[in-house]
Amino acid sequence: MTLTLSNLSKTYPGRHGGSVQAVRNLNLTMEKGEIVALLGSSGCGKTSTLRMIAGFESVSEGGITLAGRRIETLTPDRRRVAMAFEGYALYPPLTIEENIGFGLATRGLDRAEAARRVREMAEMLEIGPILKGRPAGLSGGQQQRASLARALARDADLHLLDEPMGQLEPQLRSVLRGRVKAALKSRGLTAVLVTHDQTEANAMADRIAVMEAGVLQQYGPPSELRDRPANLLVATFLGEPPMNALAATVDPAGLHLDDVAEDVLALPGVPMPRAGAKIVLGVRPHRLQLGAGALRGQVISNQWLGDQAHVVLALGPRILVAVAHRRVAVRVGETIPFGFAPDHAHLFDADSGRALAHGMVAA
Amino acid sequence: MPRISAILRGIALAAVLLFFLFPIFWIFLMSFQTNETILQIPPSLAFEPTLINYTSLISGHLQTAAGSLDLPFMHNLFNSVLLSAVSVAVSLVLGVPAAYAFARFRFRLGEDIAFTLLSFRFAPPLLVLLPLSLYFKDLGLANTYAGIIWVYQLICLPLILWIVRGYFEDASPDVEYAYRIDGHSWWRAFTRIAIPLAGPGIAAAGLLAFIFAWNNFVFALILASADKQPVTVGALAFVTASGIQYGQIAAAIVLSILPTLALALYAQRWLVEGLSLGAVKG
Amino acid sequence: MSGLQIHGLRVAFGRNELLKGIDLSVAPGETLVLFGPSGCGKTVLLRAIAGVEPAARANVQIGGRDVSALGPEARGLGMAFQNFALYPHMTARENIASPLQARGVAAAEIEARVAEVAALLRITHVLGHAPKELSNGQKQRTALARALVGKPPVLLLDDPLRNVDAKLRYEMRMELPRLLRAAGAATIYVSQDYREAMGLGDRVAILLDGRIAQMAPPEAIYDAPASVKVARLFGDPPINLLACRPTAGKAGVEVAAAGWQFSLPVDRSAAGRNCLLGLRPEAVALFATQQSGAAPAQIIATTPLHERLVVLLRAAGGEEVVASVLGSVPQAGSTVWLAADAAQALLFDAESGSRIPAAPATLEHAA
Repeated sequence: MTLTLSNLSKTYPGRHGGSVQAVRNLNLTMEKGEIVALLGSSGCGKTSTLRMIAGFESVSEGGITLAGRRIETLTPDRRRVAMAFEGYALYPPLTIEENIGFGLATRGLDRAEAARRVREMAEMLEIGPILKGRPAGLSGGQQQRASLARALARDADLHLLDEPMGQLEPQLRSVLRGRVKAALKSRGLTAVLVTHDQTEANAMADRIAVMEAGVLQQYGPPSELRDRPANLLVATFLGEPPMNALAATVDPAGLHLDDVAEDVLALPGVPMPRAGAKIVLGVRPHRLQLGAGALRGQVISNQWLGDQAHVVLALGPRILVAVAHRRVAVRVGETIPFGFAPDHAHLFDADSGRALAHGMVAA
Repeated sequence: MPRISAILRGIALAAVLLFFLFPIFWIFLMSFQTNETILQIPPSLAFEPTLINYTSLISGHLQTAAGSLDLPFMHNLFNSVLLSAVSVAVSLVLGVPAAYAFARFRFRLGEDIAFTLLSFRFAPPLLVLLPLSLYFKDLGLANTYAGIIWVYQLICLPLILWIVRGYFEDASPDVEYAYRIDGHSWWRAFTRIAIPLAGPGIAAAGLLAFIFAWNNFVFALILASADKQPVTVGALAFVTASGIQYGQIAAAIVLSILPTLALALYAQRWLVEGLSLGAVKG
Repeated sequence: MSGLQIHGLRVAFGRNELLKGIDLSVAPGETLVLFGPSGCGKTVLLRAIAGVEPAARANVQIGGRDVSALGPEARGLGMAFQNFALYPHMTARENIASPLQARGVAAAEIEARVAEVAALLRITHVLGHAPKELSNGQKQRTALARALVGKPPVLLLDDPLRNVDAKLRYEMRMELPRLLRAAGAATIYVSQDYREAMGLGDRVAILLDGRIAQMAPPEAIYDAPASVKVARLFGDPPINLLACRPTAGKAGVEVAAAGWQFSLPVDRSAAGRNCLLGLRPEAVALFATQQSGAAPAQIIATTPLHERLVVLLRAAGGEEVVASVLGSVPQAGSTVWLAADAAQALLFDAESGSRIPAAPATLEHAA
């Protein structure tokens, strides 16, 4: 276990007396060499968590253990963590090269080795041509890559990456994700990635911790979050396009979709809650099959995006999206049959959002 | 640990409050004492409160050992209110549109004009007073309310212009653009969108300008004779032949800070209200 | 001519000319997506059309009427801003009513039309709220409602989905085609997301270096980008670009790159010139065993992207190749065989960046 967060909490004094709990009883462990993403929308507590690990924020309750040492009371410089800041935090008077090499020089790495590292990082992040420049003259994306290079060049027990690619052009982002992941893996580095972008979390992380309102919602590998989401929030937060969610009522013979005048939808093999229960049925867009099935929907749009098709369907007042990895020959306005295999159904409690059953788990 | 730090913080706060509030508290006490009890050594907190200072200020008659003296204090107070209020009103009418223009439009010499207006604040007032008083005599403006209000623009206008300009610059022009695209004229966009959004800034600038105008001494001393004098100049009258009337001075100070205090308390809720109120993505 | 026409639109800030002469026209009911990298002037172009960009010089016609000399209030258009630009001191209802109020519409009719558009955008329950009480998604819907309520002949939408989270973005993306169809306006939609551009645009205009680099239906841009720059911008993960020097072949040119050999039916003038071979990542397939025409490569990293896997590979010659595949992929470090679909390969001139057109012979066949 490299990093252990135990019962970690952060409480800020509120504006009108009282207090705001940004992080509540967070328990999380990471293995050495693992990449973990803290994923959530803004204000979910992920940045507070990161700042507590780095030592920029005091811990209200709980403890942090890193590589066998309790670190929550240490000053940031003694925690042996490296960090790439969302706001870059480059040293303005130094060149980019000096910025990247800064952490290395102060840690007594020999000169040739330090220079080699800087070159390697610059090449990986495509900032070779700006090494001699100073931060002020650079774009946000360039500064962000320099900040990332500085963090990655260092040896540390833990690398903290705070929204490390938020300012990059999308074209560069998808390639750099692969390269940074490969670099972390080849050096056996342990990294915490804080991001609001589920694509980035999915692309880079071995495990993802989804946070919302200061509470850890689910922690597991991307495949587990995708196939067995713990609740509706995780289910709809991950996946692009997001999971289709339909309000439904459990019937002895299956499900009755609310507001949709269709027959009861039978889901053989899926463990059903008691009849009459209000639930939400979730189906991932690429699990919807067009052209055959028990449901009928009107095509609202059919968009070919170069490598996939998005077909939007109206099912009564509900709107669903289906994804296919080939062109689909349906026209706007047409009513077509569609459906899904019971294996791909997810059932959630309508009130709490808690997952009740997953088709694939039952299968 | 947290208890000790809380106690220390309390002590520090109390010390600061004592340092700043004690003189005001003392003045307040003085205003209810006669000159004799004030000058008594050692000073005592136990005294018989008297309203004599206030009654003599309000009635305008001061009884001293040397005889009776007429004090135009209430008239001075009226002058102060009139001069400050009208000066600020004129400055707002002139300054807010100007501030908007400087914030929204780039025009030739724009920065230079704005800076020149600010530079009026740099010059010591005495530098301009002598020539001004001569001009004013020729123009017939000397010792008129209009003349003093005009000169007070030197105090109020740069202040309002620069503070309000900052508020206009901070507000996204997109909100005004959106309003115009909706079909409203630029004048309506200015009055219905720009001004309300800069409201807290305008209130803050107006309040500050009012206080500066209220506290002004030199301009009024030179340009105004007795019947146009504000309290700051009028207070000189308490230095009488028979000594300094501390009790009346204290009462006069209490009376003269009341309007600014009331205004500050009233404007506070405007001052604390957020600038853009979450119109634009935070 | 109805709809929107723009001729010779120029915007210069001092000596820096941001837009160097833009011509475009949008028909009623059509959605033109304006796409380009950040800072390319997309927003400025919209503002120029709206009449709120003082530095713009342009001839703008709306519904056949020259509005170039008119202020924004007289142009008769609706606009949604990227930062929403709601009026903070008014309720959502008053925000939406603003365009109708400006025209002096009767109170009862304002009430009815605001209710109608609010129902369409599903914000009826928050009409009485001030903007600061709205969630980002509700703000964005209120801003859209305000743009739509006056039924303007021209709609300008400045990346309205940029500042909302993925879930809301998709919900809106699903609803927008229907909303825009119902509005029937000539719509310009600014986007930085090529999928959004492909999904919403009847046509897409690529804005690059102050000019429109290509304007065509989205698929045409994806399948036949005019230049390397357009090809790189339009697609995620981005297109693979491999340096090559084609030789003349039977029906076009022969290309060798990253261990592959292709015959491409393109203009033979490319032979002997420095070129770039463009291959979309989804046109590259991975095989565990040797295949004819496949080239060996080593897997550097695999990063999932939606339902696909983006595989970063190093070819035998050291070139980096990105493949986007469905299904599973061997672990990093493994050697695999890469096959490329020659039918999807593009060839660009390395110097000018422009795409080498199809060989004339092909055209004769077609004729």
